[in-house]
Amino acid sequence: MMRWSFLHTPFLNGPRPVYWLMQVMSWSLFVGLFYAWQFINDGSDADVLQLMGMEVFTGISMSHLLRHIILRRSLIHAEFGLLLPQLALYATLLAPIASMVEMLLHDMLLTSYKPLHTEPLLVHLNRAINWGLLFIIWSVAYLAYCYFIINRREEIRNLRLETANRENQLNTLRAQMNPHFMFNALNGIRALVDEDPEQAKRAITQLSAILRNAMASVKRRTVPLGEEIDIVKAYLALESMRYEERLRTQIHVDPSLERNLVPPMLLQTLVENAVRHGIAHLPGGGDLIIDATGAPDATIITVRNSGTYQPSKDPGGIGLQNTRRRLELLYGTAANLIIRQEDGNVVTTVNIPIHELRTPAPLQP
Amino acid sequence: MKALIIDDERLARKELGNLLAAHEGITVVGEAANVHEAEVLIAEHHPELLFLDINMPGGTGFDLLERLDHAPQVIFVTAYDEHALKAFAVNALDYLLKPIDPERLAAALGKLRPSGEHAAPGREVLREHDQIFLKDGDKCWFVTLKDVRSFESEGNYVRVRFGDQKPLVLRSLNKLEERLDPLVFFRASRKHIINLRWVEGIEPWFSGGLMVKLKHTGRDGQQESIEVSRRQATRFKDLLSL
Repeated sequence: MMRWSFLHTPFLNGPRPVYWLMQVMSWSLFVGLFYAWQFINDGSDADVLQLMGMEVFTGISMSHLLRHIILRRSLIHAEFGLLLPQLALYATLLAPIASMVEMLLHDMLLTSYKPLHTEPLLVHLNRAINWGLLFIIWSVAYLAYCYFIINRREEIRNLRLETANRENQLNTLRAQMNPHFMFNALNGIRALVDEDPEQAKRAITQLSAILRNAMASVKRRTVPLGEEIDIVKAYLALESMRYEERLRTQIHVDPSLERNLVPPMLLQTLVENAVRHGIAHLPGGGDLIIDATGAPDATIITVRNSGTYQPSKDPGGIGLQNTRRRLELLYGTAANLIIRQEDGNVVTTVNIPIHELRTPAPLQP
Repeated sequence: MKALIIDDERLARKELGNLLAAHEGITVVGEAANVHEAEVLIAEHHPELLFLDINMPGGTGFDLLERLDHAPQVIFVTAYDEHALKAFAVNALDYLLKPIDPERLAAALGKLRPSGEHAAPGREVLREHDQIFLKDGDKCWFVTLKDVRSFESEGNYVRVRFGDQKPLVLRSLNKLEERLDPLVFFRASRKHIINLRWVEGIEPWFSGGLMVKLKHTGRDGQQESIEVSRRQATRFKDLLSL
């Protein structure tokens, strides 16, 4: 699946004017130089243009076939040590075919010349070796070109991911140092100092953990789900201090999933939205249930909260947009985030693939 | 002075209660967790002072004030509602930020008008020095009735004119008339109630009516004037001749 995703990128699929232009130019140039060399040594040839056209055609069609094999076999992702032997193998296999095509075209179209098939075996072998060498040079050049493009695209993707992460960090910092959350939490702690000093101490630790985590999360692409859950627990403990019996939480996470990697602050953002836009508006409070389940190659997280989903009124919309973009940059189309209304609950489901996208994502979705 | 604490968080109410214990002049008569509880307690205790949180489930602090016929003194207590408090730029009132600084609390309490001067809520007639709370869209005002020049009925709404403001609020002109002091506020016509203190001049008008000029010139340079219907004109003259 992942191997083929490369084929669906605009650069190697769809219109490729640059590729064809390079093909025609490089083969024409090469064949042109070859015949110019012959002209200097042996004098002119009557049907030189037809000869050249035939060689260029053979070169382009055969190397295009080679390109097809390179992509099919996913040689771009092959290890370097295995790459050259494989290239040599394909070039060797293609070389006799190319010389066969050349021979057929020559004998059919250029009847004024001595037919090639009457030549001794040594001549055929010589032609095949020439083609083989050409194909090896061609494929090295082609791969270099691919690496260049991929590299540049990977760079762009990384930059975009970094931007999205930074933006998310800003959003999270804003949400966490959200004056509302911070000052209400501090106010609650102030009251707790008299009422329940032990809980007040715990609350201070939880608040520090949340702030520390919010600041550290920028530098990381992904974090273990277990870590993310710990922060969410600290956050919910603080909100519970404020909302008391109005906030009823349940967290069900299969311990086997705790090492699964997820983008940092993603669950946290969803839970905050659930509290801020859901439960905070209900005078009688509500339930917040977090479920994490494993799929064969993904982690599925569901956040369910009492309330009504109002996309138009949702100031957290920016947070959600950003979350969707981060998922897309990390996992391409394999990840998704769905919010739906289910009876009296807002249900948010995120599907996070186990593996990050290894190949570049399309530049334009 | 009887005070009511309105905040959806128990700990926040408790914290404020603790801080208020140091102030002998303030008696906390109740605590409410939302607007509905607050309404019940206000009707029961007639507090003169409200400590009011703005963001609460089921209705904001502003919603509560809007429902009250006349506003007691209010100190807003909020964690961070920059934009909500900006609504009051026109006539600033006091607010406290959580966690509450005891000195700021003392200062805010020091600025309160003594309870005698302020009319006890629940009393029937609204006097000139009573305050009403008005809200139009995002903007809010506490207005002392003596500053209001006129009330004008516009469908289910009433336009209130004071200073250079004229917010449109959801009230009924008839209900207002019942509550306002008849010696100060006069029902000029089906559409208007005017504040007699603002009358500057009177001119005869068509078909036995009067045109009352008010001591206010609008932005367009026109002096504000309101027509008194023929039916009310006689009463109006009687009232002024007193």
